[in-house]
Amino acid sequence: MKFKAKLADETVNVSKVHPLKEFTTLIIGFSIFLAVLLILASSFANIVAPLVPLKTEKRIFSGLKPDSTNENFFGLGKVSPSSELKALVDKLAKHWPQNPYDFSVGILDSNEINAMALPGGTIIVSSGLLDIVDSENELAFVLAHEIGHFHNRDHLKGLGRGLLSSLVLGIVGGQSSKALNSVVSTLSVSSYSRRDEARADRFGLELVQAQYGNVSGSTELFKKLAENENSTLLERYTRSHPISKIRIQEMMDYADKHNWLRKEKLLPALIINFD
Amino acid sequence: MAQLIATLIMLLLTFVTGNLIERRHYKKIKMRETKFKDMLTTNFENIPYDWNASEARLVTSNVVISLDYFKRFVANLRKVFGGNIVTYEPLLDRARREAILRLKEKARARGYNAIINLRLETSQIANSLTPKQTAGVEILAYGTAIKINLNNDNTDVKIPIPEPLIQ
Repeated sequence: MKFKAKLADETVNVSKVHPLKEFTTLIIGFSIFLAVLLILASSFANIVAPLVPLKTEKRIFSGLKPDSTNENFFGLGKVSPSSELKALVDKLAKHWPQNPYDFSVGILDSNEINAMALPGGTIIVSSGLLDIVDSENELAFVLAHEIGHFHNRDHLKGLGRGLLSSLVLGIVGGQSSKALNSVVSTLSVSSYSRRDEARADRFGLELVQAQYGNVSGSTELFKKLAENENSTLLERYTRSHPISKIRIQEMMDYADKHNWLRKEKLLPALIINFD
Repeated sequence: MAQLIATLIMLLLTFVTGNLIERRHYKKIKMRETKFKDMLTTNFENIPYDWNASEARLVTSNVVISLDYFKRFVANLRKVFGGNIVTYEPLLDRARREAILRLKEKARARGYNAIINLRLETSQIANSLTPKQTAGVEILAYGTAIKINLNNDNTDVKIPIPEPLIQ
């Protein structure tokens, strides 16, 4: 055998697959895979979370009450407790016969218009929301709606979805999980489903009707939100509350069905002190 | 959302830069391989008796080539499903060929014209920021550089066919 100078073999060691093709295939496959897992996880959470006994919920979350010394309550920011709002919530909650919660209400220092129900019986209202509210009835409905989330135990569903989704992402994602987590949490985790919102709306209307003898002003806030709804499609999708116009219609239909009055004189706005 | 955009920008940038670096490296590798293709390199352990070898010396070379963000990202996705990690393949190929080329360059610079007993090894010293993830590929090549008399015509070197082991 004689020595013949040859060049290195180019054919076998590197696959002839374009990296971008590989990337696209994998990203699409991975998204489908992740979507299926997340849907499974959130359906599981939706089924299991409401089954958590109240006692357990209270035991776990009883320490989590708004406290003006806490600069980062639930990762939201500074939340100061408000006795005026608590009085209104308690007034409304009286009309929920078997109310097991002792509600605490706090004001979140934020310009966003938002209200939320947290496990353990805490209702948070943003200062931005309080700024645009013009009557007691309007505010009462927002609070009654949040009480509705407790009634339907939606607050636990949201938390359960959040936990399970993070778990799924942590297992699957690895390096990319941080980036994915931020997207998924805005898209699905923090939000309630439209059905949950509609149910909470109906419960809220019932409380408001029981308290004031009419449901006037309940849709005011949504009308204001609808006017501001020149946001992008993505923002509208990621908003935790469904598009206002549809909600207003559904609420009005529900009120009409029960012959509740919705054009009575509104009570003046409460004076609420907050920093 | 900001994180997602940052990730996408990083992916795009590192795809472009990684591709550019890889193409340039391959171009250089091919050029040098042509230059060194007549340097006899084998993995025989011993110098065949009829090779008139005059001098011998150990030569070593090593190469560390890093992954880029894009390659690692694709590989991480691949790890979920299994299969060929195609984005790592050119990396390994480049590192191996580069290591052998460096070995040859070193040997030729010292006046040797053949390498026997070529060995390739891989080790891992570099770790990425995230534990348990590879930062790059490291190849160590070593062999015995020898001087053989080629009578000004390298086709005269006879390469013995090893006798088959009989068991």
